[in-house]
Amino acid sequence: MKKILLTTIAIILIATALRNFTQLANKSIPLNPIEKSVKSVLGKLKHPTKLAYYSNTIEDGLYFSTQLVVAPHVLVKFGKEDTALFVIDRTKRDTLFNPHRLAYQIIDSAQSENVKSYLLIRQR
Amino acid sequence: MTLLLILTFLVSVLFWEKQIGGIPLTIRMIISASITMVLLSCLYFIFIWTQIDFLWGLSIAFVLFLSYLIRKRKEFSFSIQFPNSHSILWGILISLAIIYYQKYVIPWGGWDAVAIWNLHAKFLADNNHWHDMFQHPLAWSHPDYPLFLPSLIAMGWKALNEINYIVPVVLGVIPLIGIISILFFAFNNKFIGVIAAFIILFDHHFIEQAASQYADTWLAFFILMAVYLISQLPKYPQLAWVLGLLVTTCGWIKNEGLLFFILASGIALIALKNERKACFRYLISCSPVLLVLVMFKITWSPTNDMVSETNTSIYTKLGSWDRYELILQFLKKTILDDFPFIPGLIIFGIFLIKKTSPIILLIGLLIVLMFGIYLGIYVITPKDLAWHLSTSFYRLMHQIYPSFLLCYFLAVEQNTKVYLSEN
Repeated sequence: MKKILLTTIAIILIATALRNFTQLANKSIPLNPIEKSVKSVLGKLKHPTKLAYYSNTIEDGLYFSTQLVVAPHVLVKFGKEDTALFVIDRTKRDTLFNPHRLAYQIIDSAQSENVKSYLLIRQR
Repeated sequence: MTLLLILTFLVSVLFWEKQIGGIPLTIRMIISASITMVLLSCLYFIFIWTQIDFLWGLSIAFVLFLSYLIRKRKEFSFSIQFPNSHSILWGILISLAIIYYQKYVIPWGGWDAVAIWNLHAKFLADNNHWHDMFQHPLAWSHPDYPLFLPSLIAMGWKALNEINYIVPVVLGVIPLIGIISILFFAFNNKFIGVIAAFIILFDHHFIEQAASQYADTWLAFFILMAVYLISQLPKYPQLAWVLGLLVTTCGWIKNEGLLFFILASGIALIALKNERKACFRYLISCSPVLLVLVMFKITWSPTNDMVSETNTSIYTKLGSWDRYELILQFLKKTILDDFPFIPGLIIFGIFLIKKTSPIILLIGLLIVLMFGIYLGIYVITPKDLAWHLSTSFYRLMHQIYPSFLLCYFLAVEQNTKVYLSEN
């Protein structure tokens, strides 16, 4: 009797554990907006090793999280690279980024929730 | 490649299980699976470095292990039996552990999982650009950290042909299951095993840390396996080669593991001082993983930030009582908030544990030395002390906590036997 009870409990728990794994995709993933907006513009790149990068978040949290999405490309702070990736959190006020005032041409952009990504190349 | 990886894994586990004797079957299987993961991880790194397709390595490994098993097929006997109550209880504990883990886990994990382990894995999953992770703009991501976990994640992604968060999530639960299982089966007294496993199972801080998908739980798991094997050395000195492999792997998992490697090697060689053959086997078995680690450190890894940052005022720090006071405050707070069982266990142990065997004393010394050196590093850290303590102190205790429980309950079991035999 004891064995049957324990076995029943074990089977129920194993089934619950397996079911939970299938429902993991429904959990809110903090990287989702970054992934969706950045991935859709990344397809236009021809595999440069480094990308100039700009983010308007105060703690640069987008920089580190975007690095995971963009890898194996390497992000460097906005500088002399010809290809740049701008990832903007639209909920935060930004007075620095204006693509029309930069010597870059916007190739593509994509927005997902509050994150908008721009892919730019240097104008010749 | 998925099927080949799974089949290679299975035949490898069966192969290594045959080489290990003496200890309970479940622990033998866990250790065999761990050895397999270590070898796959090292092979993956070597193959990506040498730009050889990993499929070749897997195929050769599969053929070698399979041919051995076919030659030894007469030694295998399979019988299907209904598990006993103890095994069913183990199944229940493992299922509960997985459910608790799922409660805390999020895809891509905590900060270090995003910024270090999964990030490095993404580079390792790209044959052509993997070495970009050592470029200067990524210095903030600690590229000197060893590659055990990132290589396993990258291998999983290659097998699935997709970079999916499910791989690190599943890999993250393995050490948790391993720790609970080792504690459950490590003792002859089954009741003590249940207690030890329950302490981890109902420690939500521990489960939460495991769910963060950091490498600390993996290190805790390998340290626990090594400490268990050290406890078995007087009875089974032939396990010295397994111990060597697992101890060296600690350095391949995290840099702190190198400290454990040095201390545990000293303890193991003291325990094996009358067994020259076993000592020799131990030293030889350290070499494969050590070679890979040294190659990685010399060829690719930049200097660790703790070493490279200037620390001109070590003597001032050593003499600064404020630092010791802050560390002790953190120690007290961490134990009371995150490890509330420890004070009670220690008080109980003072009354119950009258004497212990030399091997358990050696293990206790190993744990105390590890902990003492961790505290010493905080005294001289070049980083801001409060920041360093708040971001890492819990995780260092997390690494040695399961081994502390193992050592403690081995001593309790011994004294319980003595008490029962005297009465």
